[in-house]
Amino acid sequence: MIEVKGLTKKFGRKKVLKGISFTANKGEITCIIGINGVGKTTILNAIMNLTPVNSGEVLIDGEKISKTSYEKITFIPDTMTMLPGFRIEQAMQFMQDFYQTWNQKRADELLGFFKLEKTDKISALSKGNTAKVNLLLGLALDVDYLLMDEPFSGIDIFSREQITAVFTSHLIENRGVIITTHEINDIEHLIDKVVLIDEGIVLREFNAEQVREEEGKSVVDVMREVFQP
Amino acid sequence: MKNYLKLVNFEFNRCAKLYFVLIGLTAVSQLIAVFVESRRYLSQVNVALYQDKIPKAQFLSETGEMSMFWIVNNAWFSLPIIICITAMLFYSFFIWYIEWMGKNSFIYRLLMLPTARMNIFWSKLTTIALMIFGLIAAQLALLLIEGQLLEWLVTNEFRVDLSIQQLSESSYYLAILIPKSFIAFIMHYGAGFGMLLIVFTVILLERSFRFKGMLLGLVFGTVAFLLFFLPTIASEVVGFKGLYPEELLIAELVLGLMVIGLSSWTSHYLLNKKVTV
Amino acid sequence: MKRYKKIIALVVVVVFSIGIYYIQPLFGPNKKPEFSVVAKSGDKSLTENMSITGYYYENSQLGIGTEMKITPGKTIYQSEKSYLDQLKSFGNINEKISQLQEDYRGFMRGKNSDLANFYEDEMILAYAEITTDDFSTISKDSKITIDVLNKQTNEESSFSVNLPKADEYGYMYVEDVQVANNQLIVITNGYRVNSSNSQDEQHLYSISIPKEKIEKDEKIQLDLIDSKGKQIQYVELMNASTSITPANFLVYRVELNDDSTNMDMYEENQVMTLPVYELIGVNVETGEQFLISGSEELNRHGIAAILSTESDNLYFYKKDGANLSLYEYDLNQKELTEVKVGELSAAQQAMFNEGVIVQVREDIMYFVTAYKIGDNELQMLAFDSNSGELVFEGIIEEKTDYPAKREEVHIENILFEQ
Repeated sequence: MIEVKGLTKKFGRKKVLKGISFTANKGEITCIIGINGVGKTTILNAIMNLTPVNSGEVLIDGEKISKTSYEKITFIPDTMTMLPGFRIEQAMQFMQDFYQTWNQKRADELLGFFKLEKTDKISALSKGNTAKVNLLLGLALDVDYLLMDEPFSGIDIFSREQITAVFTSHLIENRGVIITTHEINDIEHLIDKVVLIDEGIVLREFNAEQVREEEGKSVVDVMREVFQP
Repeated sequence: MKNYLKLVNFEFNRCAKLYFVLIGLTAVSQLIAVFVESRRYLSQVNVALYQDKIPKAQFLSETGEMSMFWIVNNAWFSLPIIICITAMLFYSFFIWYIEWMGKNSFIYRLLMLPTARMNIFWSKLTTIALMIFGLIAAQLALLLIEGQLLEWLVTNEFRVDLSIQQLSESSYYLAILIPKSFIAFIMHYGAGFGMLLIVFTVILLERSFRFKGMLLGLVFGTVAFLLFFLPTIASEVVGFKGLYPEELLIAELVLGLMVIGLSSWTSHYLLNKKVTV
Repeated sequence: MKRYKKIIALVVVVVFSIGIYYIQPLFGPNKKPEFSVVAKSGDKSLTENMSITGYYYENSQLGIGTEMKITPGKTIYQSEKSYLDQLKSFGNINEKISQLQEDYRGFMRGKNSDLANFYEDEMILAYAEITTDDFSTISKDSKITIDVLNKQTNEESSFSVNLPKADEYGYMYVEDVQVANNQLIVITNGYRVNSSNSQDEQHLYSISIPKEKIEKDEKIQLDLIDSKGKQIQYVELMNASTSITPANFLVYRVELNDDSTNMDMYEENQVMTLPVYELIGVNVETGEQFLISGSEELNRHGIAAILSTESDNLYFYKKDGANLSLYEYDLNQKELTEVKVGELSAAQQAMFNEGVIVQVREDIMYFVTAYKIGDNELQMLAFDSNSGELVFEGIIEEKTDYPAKREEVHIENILFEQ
């Protein structure tokens, strides 16, 4: 379980996070929803210790993040995390060199699934394909937790379908996933938990299935309630 | 440790092509220097002996023999050295900033590696150190080759063969880059890498706090620099002669280690707790 | 492993080349020559404790060279000393300073490395210095600082006295320190600045250590010299700055030049008159100043005179063709004696023509060829200054497996180690 407790962060004068707290469980897909610029990426960065916070803490399976945590949790950001000059096979070799949890077989499987060639040069790929490579690098790690930042932004519809397909596959099974997005149309049916963020705090944290059953509302309904009261 | 070595290899391979091109260009330019200088000298010989009919002995006592001395002070020789030094200085900054530049932020990957973050720091420092030492090694080899080439181009009687040690005395650049004594070598490069370490810390300060960090970095850099050279400044500028030369050396060494320690600790703190993508 | 080959190759090349560059000279043959004094005739024992200092050029045209010291066992080159040793000793002159620094580390700390500022006898080690402003000029705040170490009790005393009439001087430094009548005598040289010109002035400040003040201030009476329409170019204390043993006499060398020579300096066809030298002697104990005269030889050859503080004599020589005369001036008796040496051989004449370095010890005058450029030999002759007898003849032999083109040897001084 990932526990986020009371994160605050200031960018210059502006307080972006004013006390974010929520939890994400293993085996569930948690979706953080908020408008652009509300600080979703910052929260993910903070969880991964990629940016400092002013106060608050993050516990991953009860422990604070350390160097070994990166074999248990990985982050697929909105940008490419590999050298543009690398070919896909070099990127995979790099991952294999440094991560014990790198699963080459799964990587090859994903390569085939995404219809990419390992000799492709990353800089020559389209935006959609780049996103897929990014995803591959994250998914081929046998980690317990996967964080994804806007995996669908600016991707063409066919690539989007492929990526969505990954979410229902064995590749995501049993892992804890936190995903941020501001458009949930594609994956609303896949999400287990929703965290709604605005003005630097968590407005509502709920289980999608539960709310559908108990209140008869879809995720979008709750969003409308919370963001446009 | 293994991760550190893998990172060093990775960092080096990133710039290996450009690096070897740099060495190649240096070699070509310096060989040109040999040709240019020996041609110039030989035509001087011809004019003197055959045109002006000056006796050989007189010419030699007035103008002297040809030697590597003229070559190491020729622009074709020293310009590539300056270019290499500039390139290294530039790369010292670039090696960090490239991780944040452009659409692909490799800094994410580096900071998410399951390894001590200081390994990133040390691997970048090591890579630059290796490249610099590589340039020195290349220069040493080139000096040998150039000396040999000179032997083929100018005959014995018009030539004096100098050893590399002697050459390092004759050129301002070589005296600093390839000093005659090993202890001087350690001191020059120790001080150099100490300063590089401070520069890295300043870069991390900027990357952690942006503009405020840059100012902080300038302050830090200045303080570290002054602290590092305090004994020398004290004796040269202020005239404090209370330390014997050996004591000055030890004082410098101790202060140097302290500054390096402080810088390293600061970098460790920044890289683990304050740096941001 | 393949991916590592570039960097491994680099590391190997680096270690090899830098390693070889620094290790090879250690194992390689020592390319610098060994010098030794080889006797051709005469008393070999004279050279037993003799050291010769100078400069050795591997390539004089390119200026590649180093200080050297020829000692009985081995030739020591400054550039071959270890880094630390090089730091500690700049050249050969300061070996005495190095010795003092070793023996009296605390006292010597922070002091000038110039023997001129020091005085040593069995009881004390004294140091005197004139404080200047940042630009090394005398200001009204300039003082004479004195430090005295009692070698027996290890007690140090320091004090300073105001420099008398400090604002009248532009430049002043300590040229020597002596002791007489239980007072420390600080001997200075410098110049006074008037509104129109500057004037050389030399002082003997007698300072009482217990009372911490200047008891006497004597000026060197340059008017002892009859200037004869010439101008004083400079005044220099002859007492060697390479030793700090007590001296009974100070000898000043005054160089005079024609007024006209100065004015025509930039004109082509000027008639160059050679400078003339006058010598002034000072009895340290009595303070008596006297003109050392009595010979035209002194005036012309005084530049090469040697003062021996052990025998209170002034020595110089004159060579005229094949004739060599040795002169000895007794500072106590104020008497000049001349001794003629037998005829010089052609080779010996050549030696004098090339230029010689002179040294005196125990009434024996030593002459060594000053320069070895090309093929000439470094000859050494020693004469008994009382009898004129040639007591030693030899050469400084050079042994090397690697004769260097453009090699040059400059001889600076002959020292006798205790």
